[in-house]
Amino acid sequence: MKAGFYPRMAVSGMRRNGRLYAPYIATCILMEAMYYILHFLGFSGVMNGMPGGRTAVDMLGMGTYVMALFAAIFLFYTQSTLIRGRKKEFGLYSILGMNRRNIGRILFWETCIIWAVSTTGGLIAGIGLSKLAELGFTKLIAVPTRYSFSISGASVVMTMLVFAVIFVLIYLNSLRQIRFARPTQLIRADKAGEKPPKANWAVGITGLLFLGSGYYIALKIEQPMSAFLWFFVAVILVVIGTYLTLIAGSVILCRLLQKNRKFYYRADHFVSVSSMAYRMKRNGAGLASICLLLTSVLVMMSSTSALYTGSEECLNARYPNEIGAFACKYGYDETLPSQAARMDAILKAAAEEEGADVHNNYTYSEYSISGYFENSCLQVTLNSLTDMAFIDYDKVAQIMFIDVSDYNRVFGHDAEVEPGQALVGTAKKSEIGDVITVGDVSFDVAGRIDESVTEIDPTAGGAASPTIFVIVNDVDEVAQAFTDYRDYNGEPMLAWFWYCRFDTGLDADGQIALASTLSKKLGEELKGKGFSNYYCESHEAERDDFVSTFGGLFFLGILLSMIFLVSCVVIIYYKQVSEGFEDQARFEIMQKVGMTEEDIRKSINSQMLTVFMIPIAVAGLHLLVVLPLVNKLLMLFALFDFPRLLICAAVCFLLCGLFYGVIYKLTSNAYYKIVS
Amino acid sequence: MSLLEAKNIRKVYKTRFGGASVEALKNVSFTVEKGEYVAIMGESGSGKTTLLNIIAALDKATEGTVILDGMDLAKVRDRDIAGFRRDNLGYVFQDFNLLDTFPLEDNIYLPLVLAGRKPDEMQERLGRIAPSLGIEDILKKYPYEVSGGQKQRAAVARALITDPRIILADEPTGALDSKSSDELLELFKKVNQTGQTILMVTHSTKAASNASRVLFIKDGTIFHQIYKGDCSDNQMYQKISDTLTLLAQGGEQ
Repeated sequence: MKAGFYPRMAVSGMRRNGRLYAPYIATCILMEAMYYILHFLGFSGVMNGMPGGRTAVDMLGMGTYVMALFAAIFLFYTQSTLIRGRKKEFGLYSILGMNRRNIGRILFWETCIIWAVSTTGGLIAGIGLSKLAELGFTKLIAVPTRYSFSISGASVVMTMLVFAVIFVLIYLNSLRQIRFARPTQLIRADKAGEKPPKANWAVGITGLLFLGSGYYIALKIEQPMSAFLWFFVAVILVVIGTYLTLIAGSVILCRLLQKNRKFYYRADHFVSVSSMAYRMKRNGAGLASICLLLTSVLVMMSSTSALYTGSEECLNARYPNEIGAFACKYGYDETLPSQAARMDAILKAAAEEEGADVHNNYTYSEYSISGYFENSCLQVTLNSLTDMAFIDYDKVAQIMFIDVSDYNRVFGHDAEVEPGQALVGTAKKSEIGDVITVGDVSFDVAGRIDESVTEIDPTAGGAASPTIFVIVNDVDEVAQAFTDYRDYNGEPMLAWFWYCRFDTGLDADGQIALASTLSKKLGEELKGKGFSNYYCESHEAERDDFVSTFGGLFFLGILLSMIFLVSCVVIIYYKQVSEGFEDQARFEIMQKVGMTEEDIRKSINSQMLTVFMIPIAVAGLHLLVVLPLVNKLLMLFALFDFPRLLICAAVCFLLCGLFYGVIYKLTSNAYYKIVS
Repeated sequence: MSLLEAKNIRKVYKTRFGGASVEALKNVSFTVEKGEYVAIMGESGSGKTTLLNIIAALDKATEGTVILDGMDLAKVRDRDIAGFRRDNLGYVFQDFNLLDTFPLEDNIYLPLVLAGRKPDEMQERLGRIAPSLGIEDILKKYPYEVSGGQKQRAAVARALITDPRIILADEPTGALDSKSSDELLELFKKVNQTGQTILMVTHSTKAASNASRVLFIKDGTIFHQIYKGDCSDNQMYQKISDTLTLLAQGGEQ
C-alpha cells in the first residue's frame, strides 16, 4: 500500500466532517492554551518574588489539575459523539474491504493529527496569551507587573504530555467503539428505530428526591463549618438529581402534556411536545450537562467576585485596627491578669518609641471553652467533646467568659453583674433563655449585651463554630470551675485569650515594620511561659494576603468559567447539529403532509426555546438555592455581606444569560441551515 | 368539468451550474374525472413521480397548468401551498413517511391538527374510517412496532381523514410484500367505490390492473392509455402486460 495512505484517509475523513471536527479541534486548542497559561502562571516561577503572590499562585497550581481533569472528561465525551456520527462511514470502509486494524490505523492517524494540530495551536495561543493573562493576574492580585516576556519550557512540555495522555485515552475509546460492531450494524447505526421513551416515574421521582435533599441540605445548613463539609454532599446530590430529573422528569412532563388533549392537539404544541418527548432520553443528559456547567460558572463567578470586590470589607472586619496582637494559653493561671497588663505596657511603649501615636486602644482578655450546645436554655455539655472522635459541628459552640470590668472598660458601659449572674451575647438573640448552663455551672441570665459578636471579637466571625459571650462578675473565679476539663488529647479545654488592638497614625510601611518589631518584643516577653500561640499583625500586611488570595480565586474563577462556557457552547452546537440532521427528514415529511413553512418555523422556535430555557432556568434555580450555603462558606473568609453576594450573583446571572442567548441565536442558525 | 386537468406540462431540470438540462416531462396533458381510479405507469426515470409531484404541488412545472376542481395550482400563493395540499390532497407515499415520534393515531391526526380541528372531531372522523382500514387495534402503536402493510394502511388513513378531493399515491405497494400489496389494492378499490378519486403512480402491473384507467408514460410523454371498462382484473392485467411489452420493444402505437 502506498505510503501516506492512512494519514490521507484520516485527513479527508475529518475534512468531510468539518462541521463536526472544526469545533472539536478548536476546543482542544483552547483547552491546551488554558492549560499552558495556568501552568505557566502557577509553576514556572514567573510570579516568584512578588509580595503576597504566593497564595494566588498556589491556587493556580491547583487549577491546572482541575483543568486537566475537566479537559479529559470533556474531550472524551465529545469525541465519542463524533465517532458515533461516523459509524456509517466506517461501515462503508469495512464493506469495501478494510478490516478493523485498517480502520484502527485511520483512527490512530486521526488522533495523532488532532493532537499535533491542537498542541501546536494551543501552545501558540497559550504563549501568545500568557503575557495578557499575567498582566490581568498581577492586576487582580495587586502586585507590580514585569515588563519582560518569557516562555516556560516546563509548561510547554507538561501541556504536550498531559494532552498526549488524554489523546491516548481517546484513541483507545474510539477503538473500543468500532471493535465489536459488524459492518451492517455500523451502516445502519443511525437508522435503527428507537423506541420513544416511556414515562419512567421511578427514575423521575428518585431524581426529584435527590434534588430535593440536595436543596434541603443547602437551605438548612446554618454553621459555616458544616456548610464546608456538607457542601460537597449537596453538590453530589444536586448533580445526580439534575441528571435524573432532566432525563426522566422531562419525559414525564411531555407525557402528561400529551394526555391533555386540548393542549396537545394544537398545531403549535403537537409536533414540539412529541419530538421533545422523543429526544429527551438522549438529550436530557446533554441538557443536564449544560445546566450543571452553567450552574458551576454562576456559583464560581458570584462567590469569587463577591470575595474580590468585598476584600477590603473583609479586611476591615477582620482587622479593624492598624495593629493587632494576640496571645493564647491553655488552662487556668492566676498570674495572667498581671501578664496581660505587662504585655499592654510593653507594646505601647515599643510603639511610641517607633514614633506611633497610639489611639483607639482596645485591650481585653477572656477565658474560652468549647462544648455541645443544646436546648434553647443554652446548655453546654462539655463532656461530649472529650468522648467523641466524630464531632457534630452543627452543635459545637465556643463560650467566651469576659470579666464585667473589662467589658465596661472597653465599651464604656457601667453594667453590674452579681455573682451567679451573667450578661449573654450570641449571634442569634432568640436562643437566649433564662438560664445558661456551662458544664455544671449555671448562671441566671440577667440581660443581654448590645454589641454584636464581631464587634467584641473580629476573629469570631471567621471561627468555625458560633461564639457565645458570657459576661461574669469575676472571670478568674468562674474559670477555676473548668480547670479539670480535658479534651481527647489530654489538653485542658479551657483557654485564655488576650487581645490588644490600636491605631498608630503611621504609613503603610511604618505599620508593617512596627508589627514585626512588636512581634519580636512579644516573643521576648512570652518565651518559655507556656503560651501556645502569640503574634502581632498589621492591617497593611494582611491586605496583601487578602487581595492576593481573593484576586487569585477570582482569576481562577474567570479562567475556569471561560472554559466551562466554551464547553457549553460546544455541547449546544453538537446538539443543534445532530438534531438538525434528525429533524431534516421529519420536517420534510411534515411539509408533504401539509405543514406550512411558517408552521415549521414556529414549531422549531417553540421547541428550541423550551429546550434552551430549561438549562438556564434550572441553573438559576440551583444558584438561588445554593446562595445561602455559599454565603456561609464566604463567612469562613470573613465576608459577611449577603447583599453583596446577591448583587454579584444577579450580575453574573445576567451576563451568563446574555452570553447564553447569543450562543442560542448563533447555534440555532446552524440548525435552520440544516433543516431547510 | 373534470376534477383534475393537467395541460401541456413540461418540466426541465437544470444541473446546478447551469450546464446540461434534462427534460423530465415534455408535453403532458390528461384529465381525471371525479370518482375515477387512474393509474400512471412507466419505467423508472420515465417522469411519473415528477408528474405526481407537480400535481401535488410539491414541485413546480416549468410550463403548463394543473387545475384541481377549478383552482389553478400555479395561482396558489407559495405560503398557502402547504395548506392547500393539506385541505385538498391526500398523499400516500411509497415509504409511508410516517413520523417515528408519533403513534399511528397521532400520525393520522397530523393534517387535522395542522388545520386546527378539535380533538373530538378528529376522533370522530378516525372512528369512521378506521374499521374499514383494519387499523383500530394498532392505533396506539408506534410505526416501528407494526408491519409495512399496517404502516401503509395508517398512511392511507392519514390521506383519507381530511376528505381530500383526490388521493395521490406514489408507488403505494413499492415497499410491501405481495400479500400486503394485495390487501392494500383491495382497500384502494373499496375506497374508490365510496366515490373517492384516486390517482396512483406505479410500475407494478398488478397494482395498475386494479385501476379503471391506465396511462402509460415514457420519456416524459403520455404514450398510451387504456380503459378497464368491463374487463376483469386478470384481463386488465393481460392488456397492461401487452402494452408494456410493446413499450419495451419501442414500438409505435
